[in-house]
Amino acid sequence: MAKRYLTLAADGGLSITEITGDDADGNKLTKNLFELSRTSDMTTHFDPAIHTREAIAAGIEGHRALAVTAECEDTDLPSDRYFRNAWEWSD
Amino acid sequence: MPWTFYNSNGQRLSSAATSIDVLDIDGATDIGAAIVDADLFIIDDGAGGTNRKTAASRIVTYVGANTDTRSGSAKGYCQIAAAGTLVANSYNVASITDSATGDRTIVWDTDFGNANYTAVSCGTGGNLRTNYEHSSFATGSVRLRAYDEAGSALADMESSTVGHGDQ
Repeated sequence: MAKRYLTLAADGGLSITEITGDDADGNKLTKNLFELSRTSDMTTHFDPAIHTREAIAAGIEGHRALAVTAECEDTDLPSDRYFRNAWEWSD
Repeated sequence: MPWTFYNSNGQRLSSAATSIDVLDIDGATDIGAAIVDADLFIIDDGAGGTNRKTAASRIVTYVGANTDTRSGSAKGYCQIAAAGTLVANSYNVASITDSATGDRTIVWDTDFGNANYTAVSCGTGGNLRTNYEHSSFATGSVRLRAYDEAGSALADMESSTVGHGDQ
């Protein structure tokens, strides 16, 4: 079983993230959000002490506001990702 | 019995506690050859004042594990499966995000030193006529999009990416 993290892309589409290896402290996922949220800032290095999930969700300068929309197991996702934007979610 | 002698500057050396600043290496004989694994260095173990010898081979291992500054070596690589998931044995990849048809973002584990690095991607699994475009080069990530010859975004394809640059 492998976790997948779902976020909304800039165009409103659904993005599916896979984390490599262990992420016990959650920093890889937070860094992923930091990177996906970039708009004009291409040079700032991720700093977990500053770029917290709360800060990213609130919006950092040069980044759009972004947070995890949902998380699930890979097996919970439909196999046909071509029509992912038509997927409907329920808790 | 502790020994005592003087260096060429007339400074006193002793086995008890010789300060590093009294060592005079200027006049020493050069090794006259390339450093090899078996050569020895003096090292203060844990900066605790206990001096030990260390073989040059340990330095190679240490440097290799902590920095990868060789300009020609790849700083990251991965193979992405058709489903947008990572194939095992990638290097320096923290995560992969499948954002849309033929649209993926690779997040590097250790950032590049700047955003002016190079990424090279190609299709695998027989995707010979796929065009790959890299955009949004950032220190910690790069976006990869795949198109067909007509410029239409391709359904998710297998691909391989390698990144080169300063770290």
